Amino acid sequence: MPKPTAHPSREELSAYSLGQLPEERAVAIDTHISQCEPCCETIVELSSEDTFAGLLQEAGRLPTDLTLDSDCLTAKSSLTSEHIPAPLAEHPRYEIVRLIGKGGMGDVYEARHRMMERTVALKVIKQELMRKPEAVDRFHREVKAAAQLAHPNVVTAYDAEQAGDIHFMVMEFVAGVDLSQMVNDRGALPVADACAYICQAAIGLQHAHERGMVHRDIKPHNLMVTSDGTVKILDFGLASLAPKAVADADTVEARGDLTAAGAIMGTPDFISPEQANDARKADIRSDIYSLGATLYFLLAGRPPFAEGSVTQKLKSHAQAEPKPLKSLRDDVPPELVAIVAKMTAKAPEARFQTPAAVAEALESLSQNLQSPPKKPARRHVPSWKSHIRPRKVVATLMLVLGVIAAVVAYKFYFSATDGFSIVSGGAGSGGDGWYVSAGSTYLKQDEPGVLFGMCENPEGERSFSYVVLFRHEVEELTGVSSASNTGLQFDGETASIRDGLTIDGKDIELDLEMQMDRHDITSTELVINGKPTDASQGRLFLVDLTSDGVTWNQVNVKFPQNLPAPEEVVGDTKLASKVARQITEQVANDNDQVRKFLAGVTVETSDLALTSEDLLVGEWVWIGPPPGSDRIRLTLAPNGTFDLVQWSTGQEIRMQATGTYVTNFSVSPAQLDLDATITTPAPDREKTAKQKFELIVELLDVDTLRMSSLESEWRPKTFDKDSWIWHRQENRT
Amino acid sequence: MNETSLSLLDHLRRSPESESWDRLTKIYAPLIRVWLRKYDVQDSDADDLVQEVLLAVATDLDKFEHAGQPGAFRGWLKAILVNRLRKFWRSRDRRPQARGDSELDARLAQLDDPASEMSQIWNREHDRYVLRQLLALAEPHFEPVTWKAFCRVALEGLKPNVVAQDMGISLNAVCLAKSRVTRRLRQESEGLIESSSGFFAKS
Repeated sequence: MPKPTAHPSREELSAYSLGQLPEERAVAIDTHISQCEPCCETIVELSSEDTFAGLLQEAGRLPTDLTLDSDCLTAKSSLTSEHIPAPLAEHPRYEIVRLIGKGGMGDVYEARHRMMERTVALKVIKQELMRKPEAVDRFHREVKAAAQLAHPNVVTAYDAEQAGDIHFMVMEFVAGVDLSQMVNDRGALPVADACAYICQAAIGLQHAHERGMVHRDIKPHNLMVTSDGTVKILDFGLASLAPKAVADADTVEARGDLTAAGAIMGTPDFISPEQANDARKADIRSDIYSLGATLYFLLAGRPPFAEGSVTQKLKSHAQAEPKPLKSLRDDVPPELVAIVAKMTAKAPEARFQTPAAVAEALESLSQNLQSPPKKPARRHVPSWKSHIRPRKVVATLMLVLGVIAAVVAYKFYFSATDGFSIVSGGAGSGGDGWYVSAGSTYLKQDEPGVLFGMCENPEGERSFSYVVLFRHEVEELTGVSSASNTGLQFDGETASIRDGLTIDGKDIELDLEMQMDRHDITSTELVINGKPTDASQGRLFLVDLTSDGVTWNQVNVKFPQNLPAPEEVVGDTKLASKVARQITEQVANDNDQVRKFLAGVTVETSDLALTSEDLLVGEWVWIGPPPGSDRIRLTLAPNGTFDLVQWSTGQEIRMQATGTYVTNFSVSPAQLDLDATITTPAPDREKTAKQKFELIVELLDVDTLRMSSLESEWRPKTFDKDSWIWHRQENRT
Repeated sequence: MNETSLSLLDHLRRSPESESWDRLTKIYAPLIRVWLRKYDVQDSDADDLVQEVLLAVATDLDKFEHAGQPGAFRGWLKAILVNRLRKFWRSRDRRPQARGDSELDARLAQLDDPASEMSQIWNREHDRYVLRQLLALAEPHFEPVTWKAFCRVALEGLKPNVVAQDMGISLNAVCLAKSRVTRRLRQESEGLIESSSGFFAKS
């Protein structure tokens, strides 16, 4: 090791610390610094700063992943050059993670409680608002009162805290987007979404109302929507600080700061006439007005009175009528127009008198809205209320229309989900038969399940498929289970059917057998007798109905012609013929129904974009009926290799990334509106050029077990090092 | 520019190969995306436009003269962006109905004008976003401990001695980490970010 050189000068140490020195000199000082304690202390003492160092700190506050989560960019990157105030940065209990927002009251930081390891949000109250001791007292009192609120639709306030002369509120950390941001990004919201959000906010407000609290500053910006679609009201207790703080700000300067920037109340787009007139008159009905104005904003994409100065706006709230919603969009039902009008009535007495009444009106409207004729209502219970429960499964035969994208030969997809998995499987074909099987399927004790298989054999012009399913309760495994639903019965430990089936004039033989012991389905086989072609393929689904939803696994198999003959399957012919008859009868009927079900679903996709190392399938929008109990699954299949990427319901978002695919996936609660981004890391350029990508979105209706799907295919049209232009083909099935 | 420079511009000029293209995309795509959004471009169109802008950058890079002026590149990039945005709205005739044509034109003109407030915002955001991406690109080149020490001191603004104690490493290591990573970042941002220029003044 070289000997320590002479100590560098203070100037040089400062330049060294800032990375300003030329490499050669810097490396020399590296050696010195690695051994010289006093020089390090000099560096600490110097604490040098320059523009670049300042810029680094700003950049460091941007979200790390700028490429994927576009919401981050707008929702979380409101940055300033301000540093985290020192007393806060050195707070003994909270470790600041990053700045997540700036508001009229002050900045909001994400922080971690050092001891409890809990993530919280810290709202730092601007010092202008805290100049008087009375204001500080009031702040602590209000936060204490707000901390009494405990409700899923209210952001929980934990405590009021102090660090040096900085006052801040500690509250629940909520990852999400506020409604103002959402409308800015997406424009006016679908009617069902808007109703669902406002209904939740009303339920939260009711909770506060019952505890004697008024919010006073309800507006889109203060309503956060989390990734699972829950609305949370922000800033309870803080709004009441504002008007008094203006009065308390005894210097002209402080008062000027507050009002000039519109800092506290923002623009009065959502304020009730009586509150604008005299803030002390605000009661719960003022909140209802503001909530009504917010509902108008969600539906119209603009506040009721968007134009004009502050004074004009206040005047309009008191006297004018907003532009009728009907003139802005044609899908707002008259009942909803009436609800908005009643919420925003000029006279408080003419409004809904409690938030609960608002929630009730919106809920009953939503149920009417979302119940198409002949559908059981329970499927359409607004998703903010319902949790998916196992329900009766109706036997159905499903025709999958169109061609299912190629699947890989001999390759199985196994996926373990909680309590349910296909452990092994197999497939074969030869002679006149082909089969899919899933052996050794594990079922968790005490959870009901369903298994159904579907095979298709696109001989001739048309492909066909069928589904065989049954439901069983583990406790009843040896008895007759849902046989009446499905036509399948358990015979001891075996369930099977075997019969002929005629579709489109072709005779097909079907065998299904399941062997099971108490908790394991040891083997399942579905055999199709008929000459397989290269296009023949099978899918076997295992559907798990558990208390928190439905999951399904599947095996995809393609059958080449030269596989060995299938194993012999023993079945109960009597039962099988019964099922087969039912199935045959349903083919004709269900064909139309499936089409009808699909009619309401449209999928728009953007083109595929290849960005640097990532393949992004950006922004899928699937607009359809409310998801209710539907399941959605997204599959990306590069070069025909299926891979389950992700599935979700409207309520929960789960990540199930396998292989190399990652999906960002979100579903709004009241309508199926799916945005997805799929990233595959580092595709090899040359190889990618020869690839085609298929994206398959499947929707499983849990009530009927009908599945609809949409497939898109991309192939590179041109592909060179400078540009990727992709060509899309879409098959809607 | 100096021989060992890691500067992206240098790279791109010398070898307009895929690697440099990847870097260009990685560094600039997020920034461009944010600005497209500011100019009312829907996310569904943004991918194409980002690609267009970056292709234009890659294609015309030879024509771009840095002329030693700090911030020249980001100004040039802004001009390409404005150009593409104008073309986009013209060709698609898809201006959002809520805003008048003239309003969008006026905002584009603002961005075009180097003296406008909008251009100042662009400059700031450009530097921030580019540096954020350079940070991400630099991270794998350092040991996790080095990187963490650097982050705590340089990004979070903590004192080196506090960080050393916290992380249970020597003060020397923290000082080294901060200087080494900062050096690399400066080199990488050379010619891209204003405040990284002219920093050899003292040597």
